Amino acid sequence: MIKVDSSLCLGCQSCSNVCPSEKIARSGADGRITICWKICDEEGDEGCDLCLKACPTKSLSLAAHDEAAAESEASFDMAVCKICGSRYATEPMLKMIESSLPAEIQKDATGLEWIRVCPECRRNVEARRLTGQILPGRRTKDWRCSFLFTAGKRGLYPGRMRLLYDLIVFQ
Amino acid sequence: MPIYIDISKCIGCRTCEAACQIEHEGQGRLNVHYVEDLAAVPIFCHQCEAACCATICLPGALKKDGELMIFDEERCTGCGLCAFACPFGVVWIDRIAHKCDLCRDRDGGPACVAACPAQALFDDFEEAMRSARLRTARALMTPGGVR
Repeated sequence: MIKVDSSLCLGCQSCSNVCPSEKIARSGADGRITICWKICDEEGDEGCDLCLKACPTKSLSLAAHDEAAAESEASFDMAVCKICGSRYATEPMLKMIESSLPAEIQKDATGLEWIRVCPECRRNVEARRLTGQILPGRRTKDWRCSFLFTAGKRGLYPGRMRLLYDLIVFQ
Repeated sequence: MPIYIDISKCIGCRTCEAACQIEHEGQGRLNVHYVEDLAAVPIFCHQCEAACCATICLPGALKKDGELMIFDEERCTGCGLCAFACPFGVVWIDRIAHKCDLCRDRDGGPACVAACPAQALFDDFEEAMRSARLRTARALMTPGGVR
């Protein structure tokens, strides 16, 4: 029987990852994630305490097996990415990261609180930062941006739009 | 010793991504990102000196040992804290953490550096600086300049 201290639990995936009998289920819906520790009687003979060892905050503990006891459950709010709006991590995890890292690196040079941004967007931000110096040069060299292309024979000037329209509609 | 990149040379072919996936059995540790269709840049681990992922790792699976990052697969529980603590988002989680280890087990340096067809990636900073200086010197010596 696993007992969980929900004030310590981060809602990470450690215990559900290591559980050999898949008694710890994660389910997410509508911006909340629920972790359910099902009744587990493995700890008696086999002495399985993998989830206890794996828990980063030591929020799990074993209790005597009790038929009447309900399953332990904890649910967490998912944090929303500031850029793309996807839900990527639980709120306690980010709080934990914010408290462990030094305050001066929690904002990057542009003042973006990167902890509140999902990893995918962090990579995008980094790519933009790295290519910032060469982008203006490439934009001027790009043939699609040149005046001759937009206004020329093959460009998309107003009369050309009409021509293309007629071509498509009347074949 | 991180991997350096010359962004102006990168052609965005994603060979480094493929090489990384082959080296690490399908679990790539870098991503090529395209910006406005005009520039491409592979995003990979910076091997930070004060590594956020090592600071946050509670089971002690990720450790900084001098310049090298030690990753202990046995101790990783896959909690995902390191993935959300990385400022560049270059730690992936799939049961356990996947993070660039500069191909420690591979002879001849990182696979992405060896695979890059445009020679945009390099891991020897001094060597790359020397060749860049040589290129500049040649350009200065050429009458009328070079492209």
